[in-house]
Amino acid sequence: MFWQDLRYGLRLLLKRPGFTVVAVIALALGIGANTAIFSVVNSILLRPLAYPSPEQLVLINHDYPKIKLKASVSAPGYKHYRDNAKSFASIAALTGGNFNLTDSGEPERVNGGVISQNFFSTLGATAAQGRLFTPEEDRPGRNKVVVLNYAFWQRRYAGNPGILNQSITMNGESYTVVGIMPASFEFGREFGRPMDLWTPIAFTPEQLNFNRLTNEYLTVIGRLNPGTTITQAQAELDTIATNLRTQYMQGADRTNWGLTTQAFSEMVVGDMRQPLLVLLAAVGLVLLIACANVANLLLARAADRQKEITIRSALGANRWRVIRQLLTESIVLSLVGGMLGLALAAIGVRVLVKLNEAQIPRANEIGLDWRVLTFTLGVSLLTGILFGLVPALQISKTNLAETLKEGGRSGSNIARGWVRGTLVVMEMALALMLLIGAGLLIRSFWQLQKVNPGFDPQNLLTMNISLPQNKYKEAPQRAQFYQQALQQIRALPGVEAAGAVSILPMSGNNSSGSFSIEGRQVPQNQSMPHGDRWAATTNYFSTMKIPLIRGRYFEERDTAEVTGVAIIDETMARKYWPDEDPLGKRIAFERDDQGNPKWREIVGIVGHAKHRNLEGDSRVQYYLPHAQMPQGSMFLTIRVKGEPTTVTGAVRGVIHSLDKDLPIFRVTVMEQLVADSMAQRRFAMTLLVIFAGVALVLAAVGLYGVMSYTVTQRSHEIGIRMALGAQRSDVVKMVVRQGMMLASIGVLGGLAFAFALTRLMANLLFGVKASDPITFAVIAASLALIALIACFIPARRATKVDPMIALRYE
Amino acid sequence: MLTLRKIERAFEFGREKNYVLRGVNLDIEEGEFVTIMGPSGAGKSTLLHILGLHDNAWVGEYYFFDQAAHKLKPKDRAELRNKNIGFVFQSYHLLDQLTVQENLEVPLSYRNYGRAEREQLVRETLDRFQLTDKKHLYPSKLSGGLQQLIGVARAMIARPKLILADEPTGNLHSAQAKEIMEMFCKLNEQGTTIIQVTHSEINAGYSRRIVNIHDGNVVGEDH
Ligand SMILES: Nc1ncnc2c1ncn2[C@@H]1O[C@H](COP(=O)(O)OP(=O)(O)OP(=O)(O)O)[C@@H](O)[C@H]1O
Ligand SMILES: [Mg+2]
Repeated sequence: MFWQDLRYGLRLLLKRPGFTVVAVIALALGIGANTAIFSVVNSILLRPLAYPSPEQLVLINHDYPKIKLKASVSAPGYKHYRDNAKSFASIAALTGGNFNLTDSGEPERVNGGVISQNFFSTLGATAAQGRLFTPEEDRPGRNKVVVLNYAFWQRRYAGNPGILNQSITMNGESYTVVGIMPASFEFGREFGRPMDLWTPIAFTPEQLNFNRLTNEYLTVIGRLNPGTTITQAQAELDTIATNLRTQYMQGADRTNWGLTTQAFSEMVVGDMRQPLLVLLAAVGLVLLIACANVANLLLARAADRQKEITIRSALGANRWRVIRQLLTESIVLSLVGGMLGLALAAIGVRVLVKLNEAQIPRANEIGLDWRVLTFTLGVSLLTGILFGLVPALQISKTNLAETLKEGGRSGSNIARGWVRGTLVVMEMALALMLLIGAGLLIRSFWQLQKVNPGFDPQNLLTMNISLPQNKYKEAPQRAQFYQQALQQIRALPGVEAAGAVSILPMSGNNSSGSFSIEGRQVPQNQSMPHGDRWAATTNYFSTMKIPLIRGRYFEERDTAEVTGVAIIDETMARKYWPDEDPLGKRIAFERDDQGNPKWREIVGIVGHAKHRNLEGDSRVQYYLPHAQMPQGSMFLTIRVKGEPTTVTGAVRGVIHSLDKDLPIFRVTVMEQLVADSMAQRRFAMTLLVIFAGVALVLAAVGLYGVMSYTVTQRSHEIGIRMALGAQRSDVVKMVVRQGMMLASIGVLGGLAFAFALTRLMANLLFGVKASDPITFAVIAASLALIALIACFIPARRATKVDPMIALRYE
Repeated sequence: MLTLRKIERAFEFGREKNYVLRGVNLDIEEGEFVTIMGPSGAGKSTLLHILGLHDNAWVGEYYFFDQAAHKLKPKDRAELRNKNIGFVFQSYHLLDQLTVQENLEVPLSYRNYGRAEREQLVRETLDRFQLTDKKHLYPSKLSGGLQQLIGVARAMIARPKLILADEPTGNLHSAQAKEIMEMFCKLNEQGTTIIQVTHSEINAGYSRRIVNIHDGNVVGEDH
């Protein structure tokens, strides 16, 4: 029975290639979009992380709730939790270590992890070759061993196993390679890119002293005991935090400090969750539109099928039997559409991943797996039933006597017209919702691009250099290196200005710190002033074109020997000196050996430079002269006449002439960094725009199809009307009016739904309200215009009706 | 009123041209009641469509009063038609989804009538054809005779000078046909020119002139 239905269904589809192709394309677009987004959702949100029992992995952070700062963990803190928290089977720590690798070949800056000895066992990983770290290697002096990432081993050492037990030189020191991880272990991918190698962290007793409890720089990952929940762990950590506070903390921190937990998988997903859910909803709507479209095509065919069904019924088929046959046909159709959709999705996802690899977490894992295949199969079946059911119910509702008597022109025709109209109205409404969603994201993106970053990103070349600690031990060495390098770079042809800063805006890094203001006491229950803190060279501000508001920029005279100075940004001036002049006031964030604050005088106020991205920065910013805080790792900023990358080679030459072992990395132009900061937003926007476009096309085709069909059906009536005096314009008006009636109901309904639903995406928007009247109006008007065109084509065809022919059959 | 000279009409089948009318000459005076007769396929309907200005693909001369219809653009022909001609069809061609009253209003809606004027004309016509009590019914609920009566009423509601009817009683019993013919006579007495196509000698008897068409030519006239 089923096979018979199936064979018959297939034969029917092949007999009507036009109908089949249109239906399959609509379904493939709908199912393909769903499969694509689901496969992204699957790998990012649903598929567990690539570690054993990943749900047990938990991140632990220090927490400053009053200033909404989630900080890393300090060394004494880490040791204390590791030794005391009973909820965890083990707790591991790591910190990013950037090493300059200078063995054979080009010096290279490698992305390393400096890890506690139990790091691998906490994650549940084992070495593929060699061994992991022993407990003894957790101590200073014993820790010059390294475990390599598989891909790094392949790339740098061509997969040569002979590297095991060899030594390599990093930051001028010799490390022994003891192990190589399996290819599947890609720790670091969760934060951006996999780490190239790992070496043990070794704490000195001094580093573990509790007076450094808030000296926070470690990422801490714990593995919960089996059966322990994250809530229980949090409760235990709360108790530990309370004890630490009363024991070791004074002043503000005493009330404003705690420990917070987060599932590791949650951190990995980050802010992708909401855009993904919005996209998932969007493709769901696209599929609904596709379904409505195909249902309408099937209904249009209903008239053809009527006779066949009538005869089948007369021969004894009951209604259920008829419905079953019709459903088999539609499911065949949807399965074919689903297969094509799967292919579309496979290609689409690959393109998607290529374009966004750096910005999407776990991008490498996105692909088709059994979950996706099951999903696609399920969606295809569901789709087949969804779009097949309405026509099947309609067609099977044949009243034998009536159909045979009236020769097919019966009341069910009118009912069918009504169903078709409803489907088109629904398509219009859904398409409008998607278009408005896409429109809001586009407007947000525009708004964002209009935001002034606080500096001029054009023609700026940037790169990162890191001076190894052991080679540049003394602070003056580091200060002098950058002074010399910048001086020589400034002399290069094409270079207009050059400066350096410890952390570059939009680089994805940051550092911040608390400070005290001379003469002000922080009240007992309030926290210390806190802000982003960076070291900058003399020409940094003028190179970046960060405007000077008052006072002065850093100058050559701000050396390590003279009293400390600082430059603050306008937001810091406003926040802490609302009614005073901050110039000449003093702040401190360090203490000297006697425990007295090292005061620094504020000598300048500069504009606020957007740091994390163009969307609001909340923290205040302050800068110190590099000469007085000579960090080893600095970002060079070089303003160039014309295309910035033209001087890259020359700049490399300067650096290598000063130190040939120094790798240069993260070479990029500032505009790229600014663009990257919007990448996730652009990703969501692009996809939603594509889906809304597909929805628009499907809905317009749907409306066009219904109107064409109506015109064919009404050609007799149109012929009569023309014979009775209707002009072409009357006919056009009549058809367009009917179509636009459907379209307007759809648009109005869509506006209402959009008004309710766009709220859900409010925090994906920027600089535009979820109910933005301009977007709503423009989109609704555009959709109406497209609907008008979709109606106008069949309407014009209607005027071609020849009354002579239409009336001829009398 | 109508003057046809050397009217030719051909239908093309691929490369072949199939002449349905060749060199038709015909004069019709205002106030006449004319029947066109001839065997099936002779070209009667084709001629009526030309007279009714539906068809634009003929050659020859066609004067409507003193207007040269053959020189008019399609749009102006349509206007000429709307002003002067009403149609009655064999299978009534009432619009199923409209009530009797609404069906009558259709021709008016394509001409420049104000709303009040339209309502008045509809009311008068319903009265005149004694259809007032049926005005809210749908055509499919009525007998064939009544449906064709509405067809006639619809044809003359916009006060045309000429009514064209292509086998208006072809689907009716003889009693119903009689009613329609009597209505035509009444309209004709009131000054409307009527041209009908029919196969029935009885119906032809109502008219005062018979034009015979054979193989695309007017072959004889009886007065
Ligand atoms: N639209 C058309 N396309 C092709 N041929 C046509 C068309 N209309 C009419 N003809 C042909 O023209 C000839 C005359 O047709 P017409 O309908 O005028 O005949 P008639 O005299 O009205 O016949 P009947 O008494 O059967 O109604 C026929 O041979 C018909 O096949
Ligand atoms: Mg005929």
